[in-house]
Amino acid sequence: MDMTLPAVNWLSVLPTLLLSVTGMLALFWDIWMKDDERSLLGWLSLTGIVVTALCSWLLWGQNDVESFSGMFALDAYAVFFHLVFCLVAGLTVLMSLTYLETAEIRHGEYYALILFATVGMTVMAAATDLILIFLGLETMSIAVYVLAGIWRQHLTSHEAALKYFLLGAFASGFLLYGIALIYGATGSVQLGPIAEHVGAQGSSPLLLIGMGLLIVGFGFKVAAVPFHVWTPDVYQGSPTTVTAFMAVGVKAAAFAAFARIFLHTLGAVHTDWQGILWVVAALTMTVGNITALVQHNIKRMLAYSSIAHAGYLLVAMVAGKELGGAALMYYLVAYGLMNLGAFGVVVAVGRKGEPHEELDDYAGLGFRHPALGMAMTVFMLSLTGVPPLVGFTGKFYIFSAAVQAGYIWLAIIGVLNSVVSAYYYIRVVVNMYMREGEAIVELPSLRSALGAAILIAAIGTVLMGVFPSASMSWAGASFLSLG
Amino acid sequence: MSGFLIISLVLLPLLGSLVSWPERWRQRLAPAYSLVPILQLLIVISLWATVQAGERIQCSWPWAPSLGLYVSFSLDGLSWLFTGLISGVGVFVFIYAAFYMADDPTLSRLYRFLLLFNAAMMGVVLADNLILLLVFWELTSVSSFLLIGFRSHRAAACEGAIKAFGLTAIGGLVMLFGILAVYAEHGTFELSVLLANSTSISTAVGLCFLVGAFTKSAQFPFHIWLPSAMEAPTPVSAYLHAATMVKAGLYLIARLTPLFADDPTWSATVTSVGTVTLVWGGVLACKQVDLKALLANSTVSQLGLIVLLLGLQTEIALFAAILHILNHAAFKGALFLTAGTVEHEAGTRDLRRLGGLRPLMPTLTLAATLASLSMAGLPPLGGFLSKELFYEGVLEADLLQRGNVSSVSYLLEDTFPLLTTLAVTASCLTFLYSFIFFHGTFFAPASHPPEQPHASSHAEHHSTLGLIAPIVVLSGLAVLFGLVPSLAEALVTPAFRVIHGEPPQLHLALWHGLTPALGLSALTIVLGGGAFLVRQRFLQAAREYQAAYSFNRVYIDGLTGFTHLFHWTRALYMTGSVTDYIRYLLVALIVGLSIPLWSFFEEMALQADIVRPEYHELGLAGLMAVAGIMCCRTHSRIVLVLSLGLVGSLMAIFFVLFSAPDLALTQVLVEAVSLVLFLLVLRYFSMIRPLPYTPRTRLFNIGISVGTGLMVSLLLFAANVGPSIPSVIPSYYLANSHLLAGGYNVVNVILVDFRGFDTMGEITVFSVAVLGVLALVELGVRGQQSLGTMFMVSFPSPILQAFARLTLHLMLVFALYLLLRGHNAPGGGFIAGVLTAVAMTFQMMAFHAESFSHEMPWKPLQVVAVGLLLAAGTGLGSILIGYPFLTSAIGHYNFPLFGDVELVTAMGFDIGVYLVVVGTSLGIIRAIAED
Repeated sequence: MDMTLPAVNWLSVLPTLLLSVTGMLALFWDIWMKDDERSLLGWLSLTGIVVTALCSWLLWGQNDVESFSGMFALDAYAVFFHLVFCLVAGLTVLMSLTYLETAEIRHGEYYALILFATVGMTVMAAATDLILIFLGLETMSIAVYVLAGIWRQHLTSHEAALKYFLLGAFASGFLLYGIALIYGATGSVQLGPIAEHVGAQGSSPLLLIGMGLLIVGFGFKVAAVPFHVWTPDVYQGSPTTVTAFMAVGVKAAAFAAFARIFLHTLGAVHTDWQGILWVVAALTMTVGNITALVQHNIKRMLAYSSIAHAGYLLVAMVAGKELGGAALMYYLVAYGLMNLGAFGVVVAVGRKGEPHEELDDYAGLGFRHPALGMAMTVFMLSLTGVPPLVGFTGKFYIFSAAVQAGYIWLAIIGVLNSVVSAYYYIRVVVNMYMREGEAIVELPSLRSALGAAILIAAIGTVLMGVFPSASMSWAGASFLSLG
Repeated sequence: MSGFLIISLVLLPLLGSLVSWPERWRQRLAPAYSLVPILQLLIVISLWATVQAGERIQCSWPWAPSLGLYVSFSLDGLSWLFTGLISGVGVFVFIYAAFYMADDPTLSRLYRFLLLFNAAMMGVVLADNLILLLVFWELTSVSSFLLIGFRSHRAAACEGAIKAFGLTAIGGLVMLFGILAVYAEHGTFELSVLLANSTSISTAVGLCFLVGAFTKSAQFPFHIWLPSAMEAPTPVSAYLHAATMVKAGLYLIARLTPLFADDPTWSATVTSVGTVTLVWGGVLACKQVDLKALLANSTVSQLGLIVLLLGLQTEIALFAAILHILNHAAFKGALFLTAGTVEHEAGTRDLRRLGGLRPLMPTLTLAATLASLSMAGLPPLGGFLSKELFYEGVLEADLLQRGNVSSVSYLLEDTFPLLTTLAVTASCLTFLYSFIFFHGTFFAPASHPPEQPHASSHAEHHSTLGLIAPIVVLSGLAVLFGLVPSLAEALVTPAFRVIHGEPPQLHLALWHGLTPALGLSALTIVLGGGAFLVRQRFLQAAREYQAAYSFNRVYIDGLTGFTHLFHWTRALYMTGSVTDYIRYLLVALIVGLSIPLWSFFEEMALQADIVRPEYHELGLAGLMAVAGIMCCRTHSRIVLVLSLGLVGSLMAIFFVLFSAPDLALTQVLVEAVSLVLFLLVLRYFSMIRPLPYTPRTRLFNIGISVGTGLMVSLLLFAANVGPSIPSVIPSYYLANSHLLAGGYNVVNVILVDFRGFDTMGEITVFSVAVLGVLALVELGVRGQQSLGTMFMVSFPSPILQAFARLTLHLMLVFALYLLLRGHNAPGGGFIAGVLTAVAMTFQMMAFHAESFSHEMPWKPLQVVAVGLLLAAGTGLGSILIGYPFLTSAIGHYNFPLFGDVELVTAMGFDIGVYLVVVGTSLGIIRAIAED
């Protein structure tokens, strides 16, 4: 056998490197920085993220070859996800600029950790080697474990970090085990050779077990039932911006790797895993929604709803093929926009020492703060799947993919779930407009970074819903780059 | 141009609803919103010629074409009639509302919601794309929700709003399934395409559409939302819940009728649901004492009548259905507004308090009476025309049932004419409640004086023209349709042609000669009149009768039941305890693994030969097991940590036994470092409190542990005995380790060279980890003298200090040795790094942690950074000279004292790893020790 030494295609790791360098700069700069200057770190991070996004954008479709001997590929698929991650990280940083003040989190590491987590995500999306994917996952996870616990004044934050870490470590173990077994079954940890082997030999019990363990590992990261139990406590306890970052970024990254491995590499044996995922998807949607129905804390409600959304995304995975893959990617963007926006509003409503996270705190908000109320209405309606917002087109995309792939019952379960979800999303709107509430006297000015983040999310939610064609075809083309 | 007109019908109200007047002028400018329906009405009228000619106007824009989504509208006779209704009734309601809520500051908001509804309704009747139709359909539900719950401070309003929204939204959802099924089957969402090809659609799909239509049009058993919706301000009730929104379901049934013309199930379902609703609604309406409740239930009944007619699908029935839609909009609109005016002026809507308003409000009395009589179906009013046709329709249906259309006499001598009987019964009920309505309000003597006598005494005087004029015009229309049948016919014909395909053969006239239908009408008047005269005998009893169980109860109980169920399930499994969560995870793992493992062992049937373990191996394994059980049983954390360390160390022995010295070295050192870490941290913890487990839980836990262990063992076993893929990788590494990378220690070569990229990643992860720990620990609570420091100071052991001084340099030199030789013999950057960390930690424990850190020239983070940069730099170096990242260069150098040292550039990389590991370990340990 002739093995070549790693061939390096620098362009393919350029976005990852840019993010890492920004992260290190933020870290070093922090050492010499005075306390009141620290918000500069946020702007530095934001600049790095924007530059990374631009650079990824330019690399779209330029770089479809594998590099580092088939360990890394910045194909259009990866670029798509890089942009999603940049969007998520960028909006998170924007929100954090305001949030860290109100929540009194004054840590220079915060931004660096966000950036390093994003580095991990980009690696997960672009890696074509199971070990590298695992590395990316760990880089991301460790940073996020810490972020979850960075709100040191609050015991709930500690609890969140600890729970996330303990259960996350468990899941990582399963993932690693699964990787080892797949290596045993196919003789490689690289996705290309695995796909070849699976295509030629079909599945084997060992591969089956390996796949099962991978599903456990990824299922944990995307919060699929029955690996979702950590979500509510962790989401509620973490600082709100971190929750947003976790709910969207971590989920997107896990799905990036999950879909690359299962839809593409293990696509040849899809009959072996679709059944399991079918059940997981149906359970995830149903359990997530039904439990969200009875929540009164808005962060907790959003946590359960994010479980439900993972379920919809899993439906896209089950549907598979180009349509399912593209629907998955499109919906991730949709979900990211509306969910980040919703968390942005939660941040805006919170005050120093009073997080205002209960549903009752939103009573009358629509009249007292029309702009904020309007934005929240847009996000809630979009999360429900009300047209013409992006949540609708996204769900429509997923369910029609499922129907066309022949999974009609799954689509029906999905649609039924969307209706159940209407109950708790609309309840927020009802609270804002139909009830009189205690006046939240002043809110942070929306002429701030936070306001900008909410605005971007809202505009995206509306525009992508009204004009879905461009982004849909873009998602489709990106998915096709997997080959 | 026409396309633009259609779009503007939808866009005008949508844009209008976005207009917000400045606070100062809001109240005065609010009526300006009425311009929108007026403009719409003008547009609708201008389209009359096109519609009259039987043309269709279409326009379409792509939305998401790949999914079949288009923003496409089309207008034909049927749509036109409905746009006329929406804008026409809209004009009156908007004007009425301006007077009805003249002093109410929420008027402007009401108008904006009404416009939103108007847009949605226009969208429903104009949309050509089924998904677009559904979108507007749900938007009508949303705007109806907002309007019913408009007086949100009233609990009943909110409940009514939620009930209406819930039921209609669920109906819309069922419809969505139908739409998706149509798309799956025919690949299009365009109604015009489906209708043009007269596509055959399965009955089940048809039923999905029907559920949507029935919920929207308040058909039995979904009718319960309509009476609850009466919490809305009266103009809203008149507009949404009488004239337009509840007709959306009728529109849909009418629209789809051509597609299901040959479907007996469709027809039977529609007819029977309509019939039941017709009768049941009539019964309920007679019982009511609240004017609006009476009207709401009568609406339910009348909608049932139209549905019944649509189900019959004959020419007469279809014509009658459309005609009655028109008539009903006119008289019911007028009657609802009457209820509003009466409440506005008399302060109550209760029939038991009302009465005697005739002398006070003569104009209103006349208008309302005429509208009621039209509802009762008396000549020469519009209602009479449709009632006649209705009777003809059901008679024909009953005759057709026998396959023989001969005569009425035949009808009577054969089987029982069920439909006709029910129709007559329902019409009598209609007659009865129509009379109760206007008689009770205007003519009956006031049994109780109204609450505000002064208001009613000058009622007519005070009530502005605006509160009466719309009623007069609407009743006038109801009269006009009767007196000039050709007008109604002209309006109905284009719509009829769309449904039926051909122009109608029949002509409307008040006098058709002595037909059986006329006879039935006469019978209705006699029976209804009789019932009205003796109503006191049974109405009181009927009103007092409370059903033990109603559909409303079913709805409420179902809702609370579900809520309890959800609460219960959530409380059951979301305990918040990590222990429970880990249990779930493990159970899922056991279940998940057992299935593929089972199939694996079935297939393999132990064909591989198993090497029998040696006794010492068994002994070691047994020791590990004991240590493991100790971990679970002990209540002392120190013992726990030590037992855990024992497991790790035994693991290292296994590594030695299986010839993996690098792994063994690493394992031992990692155990040492973790032990130190644990001991440092443990001081903060109390003893382990034994959890109060019941024997059952304990048994369950043991079961999970054993199960997991078993699964993992079987898994390992399977991985070993299974068919292994002959891998070329090990042999390749063995063969080329020295050749390509200049090292004999293959493990190390893999780490720093072959898979150097991975290692680069690993040390990055490491760095992130130390960052996290520092963020959490070191930068936390500063300035407090923590327990750790006190501990360090209070126990300075001279022996330990002496020993530490001695060993420090020894250990450091040994670490350096391990680092340098790592490429060829067991050792390497990682191992050396951990060893250094152990040495330093030792110092920290022996001396003062802080004084030690003062002696350290660098901060741990800096060490980490230098290490990372060095590793990356070595990799990059190879690029500078034109080789791929991390390629090694090899050279031998003769150093004094050390002798021949082989220097590989990978050494630089390894040193980088070393520094990262040292920095990380020190950072973590120091952070904990100092905190």
